[in-house]
Amino acid sequence: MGRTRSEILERIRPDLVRLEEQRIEVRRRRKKTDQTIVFIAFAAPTIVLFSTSLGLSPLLAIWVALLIFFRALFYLLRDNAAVELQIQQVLGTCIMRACDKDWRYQAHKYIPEHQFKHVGLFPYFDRLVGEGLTTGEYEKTPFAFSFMRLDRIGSKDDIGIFKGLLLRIETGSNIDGKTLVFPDKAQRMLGTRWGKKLQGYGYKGLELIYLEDPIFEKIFVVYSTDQINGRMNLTPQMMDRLVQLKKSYSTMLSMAFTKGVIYIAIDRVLPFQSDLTMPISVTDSYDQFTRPIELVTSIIDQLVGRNNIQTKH
Amino acid sequence: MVTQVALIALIILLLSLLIGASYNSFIHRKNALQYAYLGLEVQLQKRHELLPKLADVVQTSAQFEFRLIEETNKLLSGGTLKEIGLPALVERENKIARSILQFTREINGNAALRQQKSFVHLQQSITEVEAQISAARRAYNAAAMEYNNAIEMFPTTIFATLSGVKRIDTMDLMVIEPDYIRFDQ
Repeated sequence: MGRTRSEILERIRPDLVRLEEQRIEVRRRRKKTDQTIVFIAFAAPTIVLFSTSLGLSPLLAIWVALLIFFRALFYLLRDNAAVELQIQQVLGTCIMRACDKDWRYQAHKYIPEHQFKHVGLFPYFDRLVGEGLTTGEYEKTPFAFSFMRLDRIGSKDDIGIFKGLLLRIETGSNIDGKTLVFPDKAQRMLGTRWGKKLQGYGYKGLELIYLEDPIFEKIFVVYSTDQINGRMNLTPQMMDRLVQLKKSYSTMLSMAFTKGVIYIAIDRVLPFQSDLTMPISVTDSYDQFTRPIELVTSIIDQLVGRNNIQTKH
Repeated sequence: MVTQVALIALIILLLSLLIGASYNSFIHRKNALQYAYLGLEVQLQKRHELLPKLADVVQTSAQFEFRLIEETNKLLSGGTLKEIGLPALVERENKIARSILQFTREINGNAALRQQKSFVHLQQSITEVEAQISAARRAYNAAAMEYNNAIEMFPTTIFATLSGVKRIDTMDLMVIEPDYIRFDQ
């Protein structure tokens, strides 16, 4: 992201103006469809009323009318969502191209489940909905991020596991094993002694790592393949950076360090979502779209940016 | 009478559980310390293996002082922790680290040595090994702290006194920062 905000805004303005014209056109067509729906809605009872004179059984007429009505409604809504996603895609492509020509945005895609499920960053989940996959390279660090919603299907209500941004950074580090960093809920709720005791049982076959930095320990809990592996990933500098990161964004942060890759899950970061009924404002769209990008680039800056992660300790 | 016997039995059971748990906790920490030391020893061994390879690179230079290589060989033939004790071991390891730094300075000052292919690989290896030593040292010191706590805190202190074990010093081992091993290309 070498260009300034005003430069990018200047670049995207013509495209966004064109997109707004398209949106207005879609809205005009949608109005026509609405009128058709209203017509069908009125036509349906008429069919029922005149069913006997048309030689139809009243029950069959009701079924036919309902079928026509819901079919029209379904087409209308499906068309709406598809158009909104299309707008999002065009907007995203346009902003990404202006930010960095190598960055790519795919509105309907997300980080594939098989890439992050084995890492163990999230507990068991049944349903995954994702969008807004952005990939690219920043400060020579390849990254990918998308917005995810993970749920566990309960008997009464669904239980939300995660709703936010999942970032994947390739650091090129060759440290084997796995290290997971979570917000320390147990010690906050049960106190240091009992919380630590509970966490001491480990997590998914990983052992608890009690690190030397008291500030870091108050915020996070760490599980790793072994004591050395955990400390290789979480060097004193890295712990300091994570504390700073937590202070800067005061959000729920979870991290996983696997061989050469860091996954960072940031809760409550929501994606830009286009709305067919709202006009596309150049500055507002840009600001909403780039907010998560700024978050991601600043995280990369803090964690790996200028200093290669594998050479620091 | 039955109630009193049951009460005594319950107290004995609770005491046995407490003693058992404390003893297990003490042994766990003792073994964790041993395991941490073994982890560190493996990493230090890796560092030892790098030293002759570095020496091989610098030997090709005519201006190199062979006294350094002789000193290095002497250092590598030192005893184990049990034979020489922790302070001597730390001192020897710090000397080895300083030797690596001397070698790297030699290479840094010699353009012909810097261009050797084997050297680039060595540079990566040193960085990796030093990072591992740094992590292993921290793991050892954390285990030593846990062990010392067990020795001094009730009820594990009882077993520590009975076994005659003493406090363990943390290891002040020198680790080479990557900036010092980075060579100008």
